[in-house]
Amino acid sequence: MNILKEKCTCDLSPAALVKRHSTSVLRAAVAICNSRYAADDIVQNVFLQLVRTQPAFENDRHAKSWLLRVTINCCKDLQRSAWSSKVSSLDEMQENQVGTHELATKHNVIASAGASHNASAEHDPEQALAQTEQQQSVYKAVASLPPYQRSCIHLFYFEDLNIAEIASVIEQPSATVKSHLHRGRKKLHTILGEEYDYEA
Amino acid sequence: MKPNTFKNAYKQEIEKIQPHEDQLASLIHAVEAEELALTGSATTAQSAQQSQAQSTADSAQAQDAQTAGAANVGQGWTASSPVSTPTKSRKRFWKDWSTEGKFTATFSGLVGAAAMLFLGILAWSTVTTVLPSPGEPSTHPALQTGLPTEGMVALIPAGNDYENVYAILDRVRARDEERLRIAQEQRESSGGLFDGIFGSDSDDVWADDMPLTDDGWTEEAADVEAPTSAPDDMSLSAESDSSARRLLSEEPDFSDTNVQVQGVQEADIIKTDGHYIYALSAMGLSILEANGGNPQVLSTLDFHNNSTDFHPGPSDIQMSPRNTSARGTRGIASGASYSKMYLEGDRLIALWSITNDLWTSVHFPEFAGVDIFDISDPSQPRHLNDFQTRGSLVNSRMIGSTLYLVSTVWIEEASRNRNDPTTFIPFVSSGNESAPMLTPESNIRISPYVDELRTKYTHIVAIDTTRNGQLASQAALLGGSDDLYMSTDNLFLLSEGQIHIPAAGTQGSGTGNPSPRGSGSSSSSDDIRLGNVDVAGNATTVTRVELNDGQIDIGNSRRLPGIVNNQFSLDESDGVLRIITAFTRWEHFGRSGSGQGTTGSSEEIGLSLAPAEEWGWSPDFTDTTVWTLDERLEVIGSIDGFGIDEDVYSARFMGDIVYFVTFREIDPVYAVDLSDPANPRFLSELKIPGFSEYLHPWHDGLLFGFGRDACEITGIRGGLKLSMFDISNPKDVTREHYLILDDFRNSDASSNHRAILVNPERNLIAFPADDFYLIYSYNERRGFELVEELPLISEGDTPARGLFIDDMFYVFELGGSPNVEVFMLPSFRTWDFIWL
Repeated sequence: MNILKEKCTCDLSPAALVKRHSTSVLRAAVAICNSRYAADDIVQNVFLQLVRTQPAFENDRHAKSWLLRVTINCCKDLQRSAWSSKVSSLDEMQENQVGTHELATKHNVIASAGASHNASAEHDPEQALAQTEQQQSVYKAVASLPPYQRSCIHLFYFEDLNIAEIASVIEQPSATVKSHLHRGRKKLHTILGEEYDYEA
Repeated sequence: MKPNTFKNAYKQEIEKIQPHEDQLASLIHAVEAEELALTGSATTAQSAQQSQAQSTADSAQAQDAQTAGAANVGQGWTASSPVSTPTKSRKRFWKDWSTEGKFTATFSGLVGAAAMLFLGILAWSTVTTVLPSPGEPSTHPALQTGLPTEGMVALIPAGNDYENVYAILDRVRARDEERLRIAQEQRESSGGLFDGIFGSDSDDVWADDMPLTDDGWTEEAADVEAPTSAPDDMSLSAESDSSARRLLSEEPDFSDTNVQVQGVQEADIIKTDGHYIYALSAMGLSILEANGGNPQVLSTLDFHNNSTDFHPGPSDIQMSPRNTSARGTRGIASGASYSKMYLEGDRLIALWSITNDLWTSVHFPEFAGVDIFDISDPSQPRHLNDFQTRGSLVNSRMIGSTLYLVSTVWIEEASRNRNDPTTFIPFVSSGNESAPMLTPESNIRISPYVDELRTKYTHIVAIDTTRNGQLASQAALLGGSDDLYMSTDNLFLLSEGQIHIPAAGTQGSGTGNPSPRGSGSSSSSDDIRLGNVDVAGNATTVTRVELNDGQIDIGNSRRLPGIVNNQFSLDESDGVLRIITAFTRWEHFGRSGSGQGTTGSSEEIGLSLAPAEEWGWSPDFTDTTVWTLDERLEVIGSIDGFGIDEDVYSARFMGDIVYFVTFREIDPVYAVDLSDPANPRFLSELKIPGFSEYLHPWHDGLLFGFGRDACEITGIRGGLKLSMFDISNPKDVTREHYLILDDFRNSDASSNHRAILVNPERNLIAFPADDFYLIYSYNERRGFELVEELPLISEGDTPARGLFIDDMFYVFELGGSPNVEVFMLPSFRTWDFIWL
């Protein structure tokens, strides 16, 4: 039986959902769009959409996956307008230390690309990897992934969703989810080195 | 505690993200306020919002755009409401005026709304009476009047030290100055906009005794009559070469650059020979060993630190106001880097160019050049030679081991010096030659369409890349070029211009008719097409250049009405050039600007809405024509009446049949039979929403189309669209399947066929779209199916290319952080990933 179809008796009113899930939505938004400012706006928009749309949720898990889906769509829309992402990134460069931002991330990616490039010329990739690892936290490494991979990694590792659930959240076939996860892990592995176990 | 799993590490970091103190409270407040506001409003409003909220912002945007478009059309209708019973063609016309901002903007200032109304009636009456239906015998108005029937390129009479060339440049210059002066006078006197554009009749400097129209002609005619040698052996030898190589060393099966003509290479940013991959990115030119799916970077070539100094000709020292920068090593020249390359045997040919900053005058010298590398050892590429031409590169092609560069060379008037041919003759300089190699005078031709002459050349250079690389031949045509098409035997230069057909009955001094021998038959007096109305329109000059294995020989030119979409609008088969043009007619109304054509069209039609002092040019209608031309570029046959008021978006010649797509609001796919060049026959027309910008043959009588979806009513564009047409019966073309990619709007492949990989054998359709690289397959029952949707790492306009070698598919991202990702075919399992 589909877990999302199970009825439950918990309070599914918008206010209750805000209390239970706004932190999750906020974290997903920060992780996916890499900007705390934008994420705050997205959280507001997601819950306003919830009120306007009034979807009939079967249970709390269903509600949460709906909220996450809308969050990701909002992030997607934000990324479509390059203007907002660039402006907010620049703003946060000076002020906000909480999240990473795309500009810095891009620089890091290029830096790490350059580093690994040089290293390969010197036949010492390990040194380059250690270097990049020092520069980048786990979170920043995830932020450097392309948006879809970022979303999947976040939903899988933070929200503990399974492949089928991620597929319904990002509205893609599960094969695509698997490949996003696989590629995401592979790139994280390139950036972070051997330190972490991705299977657990 | 040091986290040992990625999950814990990631969770720890994410959990640091907390809502602000009052964020939750304010969020609940906002939600409750919204709830309150909604319960207060009517149910219809709620359902409307509901539907809006459910759709993604993307489709919401599209809806907005549609409504905006509908509003536009609505305005158009309002404007046309004084006229009763609107017809289809008029509706389309009005929409032009309301949606095509540039026309509206130009004319609203010029004539105002009353004149627009008048124009509408005028153009409508013309359109409804003139438009031929597809298949009607060709009676192109422009063919009947004003178009030159002779298209001979003039040979410059042999002289000493380019004296004749110099004299002709003098005349071109004098004529240009005269034109400028007249245009300025007219502007000052009447404020007219368009005579400057269409040129005025100031060709008096071209007296009948000009050598190029009399003497030159006959000489050249004799030249062309001479039998041409069979150039086929070149392509044959190239083919046998490659097949021999294939036999020797079990060549892998790999995808090459997507080219128009088999046997004619086109330059691209990525090349492979099946063993090694050559990629151009911000990192420079990277050479990778494919290594069965685990690619390794062997070496990287940087433009600035290899090989020889830059070799500008002696003239550049005087000519360039910035000669210090152009003179030194080319590393100083700003912005120069390799742009594209060719791969042929063990030669790698990298193209580069130095172009002007946008805000500087176009008359500063520009440079285009090639570096030739020996890559028999790909880990140590060896620089063999380099060639530079002065000018901006139009395009390039390669047949066998012969490279053809076509560039446009402007002559700087201020420094033109009779005693120094390098100041006014195109030349090639090379790292292995000390002196610049001037184009021989016998290889310089003059375009017959003297009204379009400027002091610029089209410079064609053939370079033999075998051995150390050497100049095979060079030729120059006085007259510019915008684009080119190359078959295995000939090069066709394309240059856009205008034609001007004066009103019937007036003195025929149109700028479109430079030949003293007169033009084709003028229209009869009862020809309603022209009446006493001045007509002008866009035109394309085609010039045929024979290649003869590197020995360039410029042949005839022909000006055709209309413009060419891109290289796919041309095709040469059995010596017959087939070409598709879209001709937009402009009509002169009101008082004639240049003193000719005294009758205003308003009186002709019996309306006097336009005040006498208002005059100008108005776009009349667009018509698409398929032409067939022989080796002398004489028109054999033509068929028109396609895509009325639409633009050509793509074309593909497949044997005797050409399929082409025109578009404004809806996408007709036309099929025309050209098996009898004298009588092209209309076969079929398929109307579907959207349009295709690139057509590629699939197997089993199918034709693949890559384009955009569009609203049927407004023509507003939607997402990318893949279409598969069944052309097994050209008389009844049908659309088998299509797929609209709503999430994707832009693709490099829309304008660059080298960015798309279409391979029916492997069942692969791969192309970049927005920030993704998409790979689709096609199934006859189920249609297009997504195989892989690969997000690109760098965002923005990153060039991406896909290629396969045996069972490995490589996706190259060649932007700021270049990388390659390898997948296994056919499962598309990830195999490897490296940074370049």
